[in-house]
Amino acid sequence: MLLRFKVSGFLPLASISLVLIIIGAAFQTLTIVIPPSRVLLVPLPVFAALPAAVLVGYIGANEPKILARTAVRNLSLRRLLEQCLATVIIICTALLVANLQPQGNLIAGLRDFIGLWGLAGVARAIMPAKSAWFLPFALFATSVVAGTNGQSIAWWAWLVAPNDNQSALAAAGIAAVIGAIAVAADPTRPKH
Amino acid sequence: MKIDKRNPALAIILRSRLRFAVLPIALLALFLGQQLFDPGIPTWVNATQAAVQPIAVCGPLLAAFAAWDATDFGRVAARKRMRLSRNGGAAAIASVWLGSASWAVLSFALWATLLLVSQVNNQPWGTITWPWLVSATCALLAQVSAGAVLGYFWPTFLAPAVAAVVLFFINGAVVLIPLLHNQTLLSAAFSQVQQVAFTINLPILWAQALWFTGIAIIGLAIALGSLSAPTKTKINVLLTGTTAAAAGLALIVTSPGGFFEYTHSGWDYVCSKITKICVHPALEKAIPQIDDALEPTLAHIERTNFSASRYEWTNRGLLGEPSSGAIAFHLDSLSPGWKRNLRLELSRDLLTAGSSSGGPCDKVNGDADPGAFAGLKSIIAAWLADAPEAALPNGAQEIGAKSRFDKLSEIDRQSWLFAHTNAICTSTLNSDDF
Repeated sequence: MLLRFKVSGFLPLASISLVLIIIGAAFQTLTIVIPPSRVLLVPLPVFAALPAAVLVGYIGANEPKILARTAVRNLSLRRLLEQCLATVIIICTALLVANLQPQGNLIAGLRDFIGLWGLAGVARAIMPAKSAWFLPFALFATSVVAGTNGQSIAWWAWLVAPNDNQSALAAAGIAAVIGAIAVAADPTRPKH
Repeated sequence: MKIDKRNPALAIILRSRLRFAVLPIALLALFLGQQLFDPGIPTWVNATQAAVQPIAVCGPLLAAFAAWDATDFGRVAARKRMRLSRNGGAAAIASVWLGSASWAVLSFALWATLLLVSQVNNQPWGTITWPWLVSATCALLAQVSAGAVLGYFWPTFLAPAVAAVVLFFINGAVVLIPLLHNQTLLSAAFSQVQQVAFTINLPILWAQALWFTGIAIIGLAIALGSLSAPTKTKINVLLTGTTAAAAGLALIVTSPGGFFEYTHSGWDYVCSKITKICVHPALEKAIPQIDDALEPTLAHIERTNFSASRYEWTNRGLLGEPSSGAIAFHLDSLSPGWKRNLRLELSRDLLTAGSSSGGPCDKVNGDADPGAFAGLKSIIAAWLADAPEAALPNGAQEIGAKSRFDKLSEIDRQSWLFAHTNAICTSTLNSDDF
């Protein structure tokens, strides 16, 4: 089991993600104003969610292909379990160490963390394994740069929506479920 | 990595992973650019901005692919082969760098051309700001160069992701944490939203181009630094890059102006004949619609001291005051709901002290004025704007005042407005005044 964790890079990747989310949780009242006149307020935990989710999505990405060909057990399922385990540990720790603010910035950050992790899973399924960052980064950066016209937030920019936006929560949930299915199915897995 | 012995440089360029990214990233940029067009008011400045601003997202993406290319090159086996190549290490590094840069520029050229061409049928006002496109190209090159350096020195599977995320955040930090004069212009992600009232400060765009080119060349020099390239080549490249970057930095930081030249020059107002609504030439085609939108408010303020002989479109903020005797209004685009927003903003400005509206409240000090967004003033603003939902009285007394005001006839309301102008402007209005 420990060897498996070592091969998948679980400990370093999950630890760095945890540190990022904790930093976001510690400074959750800090909001960043996106200039110029297309005004958008993005809380720090939302920014921390991107690198944290990408790193969790990378768990198991760097393992040699020969492992997938020769392993007796289903490695995709194990990879999913490892990523889910990291996600749960990170979310629980963040909720334990930080008080939830009335603004709900940490909730928005954790919502985005789950959604972006799902997108990383989808990216891994449709692109080379090392491109897990592509979809999460593209959607995040696009949402920050052009997700609002100053009056309303575009439907696709759920990452920068307020924490009480039910549609954003649903979008993150759907992304996470699809991502989990993609990680478990792993269409890029070499045939035995 | 297999190297074509006949023409290794061309082989490296053609093998670049960036070639797969050209189309998807151009499509993403087209999507981003479409969000930035201001509906109903086509201008070439806005079209140029829509072509340039996607660099904030697509620059780090392209840099990530450049980092990915460079990670291959950074592996020992590939480097040994490169060192043995006919042209030496310097040419090899330059080929990888040039490959990434070429595909990135191709992607930018593709999306910028498509976005600009898509506007031709709308007959936009003004001209394309070519220096803006040049400085954007240089900004893209600087990011690609930074990505390649990261991939070369840290050839791991994480390098592309780190390149994208770190560059995005660095660009953002340069904009968000100002330490120097004009510092935002040093960021590859900075893109000023169009303001048709002002002309763009073209020299500062050329200075930006110089700064970004310098950064790109410094990236190449850093990559060369770790290879067995001739020392003279390394020093020459580093000196060229440093000089260009330092010169660009000095020009940007010491420039007294910013992105815009804040003068109202180069254009004259275009006015409608009957209502005397005067706009910037970029809004000329929208005059009938603006006429139609403002008609209810102008009818309400008729026969009051809030009316004027001329209504001028002005920019918000600096130099936003109308000419003497005119009332100012603001309009950015004809996006959904613009007519109501236009009326509401004009009404609130008219009732707010020191708002530079040109109305009677303009001369009153507005420091202590809470504005007309809520409270008693919002009742009047909602009437003037024909937007009843914008009336937000606080408490039972103000709700009573609203119901009394609602029962007045149009002429009585106009008389009331005339009689209470001073109380409105000095924010001394109370519920009993209604």
